[in-house]
Amino acid sequence: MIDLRVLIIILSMPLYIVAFILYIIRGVRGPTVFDSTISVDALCYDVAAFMVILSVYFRSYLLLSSGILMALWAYILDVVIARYHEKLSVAKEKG
Amino acid sequence: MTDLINFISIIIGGLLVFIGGLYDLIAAIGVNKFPDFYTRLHAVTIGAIGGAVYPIIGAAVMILGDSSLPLSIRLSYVLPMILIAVLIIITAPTGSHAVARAAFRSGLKPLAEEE
Repeated sequence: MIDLRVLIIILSMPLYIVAFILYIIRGVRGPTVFDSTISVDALCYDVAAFMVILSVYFRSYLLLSSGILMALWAYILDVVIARYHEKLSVAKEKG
Repeated sequence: MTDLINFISIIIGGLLVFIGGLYDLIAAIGVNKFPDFYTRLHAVTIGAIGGAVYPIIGAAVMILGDSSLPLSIRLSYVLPMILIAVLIIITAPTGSHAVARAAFRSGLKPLAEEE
């Protein structure tokens, strides 16, 4: 008999994978750099959540440490790009 | 009694994981459909909180009711999961706010002002 947890996780995996593909499409197409940034940001948070779900599926808590790193890396991406563009706009205003 | 608690934890955690997947899908469709950066930001923040925090809490509930593992092993799953959920709750709104401010200051106009 198949475990009920494994069944639920297998049923909800296609939703996450379709969401990943749609986020990647927007990240490649995005007209401005900010669109790509927020898309990659949401993709990283979802990969962190997906790793947590996979750690329940595979019964291995070693996957969780990489989930922590993914969550922090998305935040660093946001802050670095925001600071860079704010400094660029200030420099343009000053001439 | 343990079987009942086990079953209830599987149902609650599985519902949270599935609802998180639905949130993720809806946010991804919204990111592709919305016309503007600021409206897309709205959809993406829904995807970060509803699509990442809810499934992590659901996975924690699922593994906490698993009586085939000893309690110390279960806690070594649950504590990093709670840490990841708290980190995402703190960092996702901060990061998207910073990006929105940078976009507004670098001259990206909202759609209503462009006409």
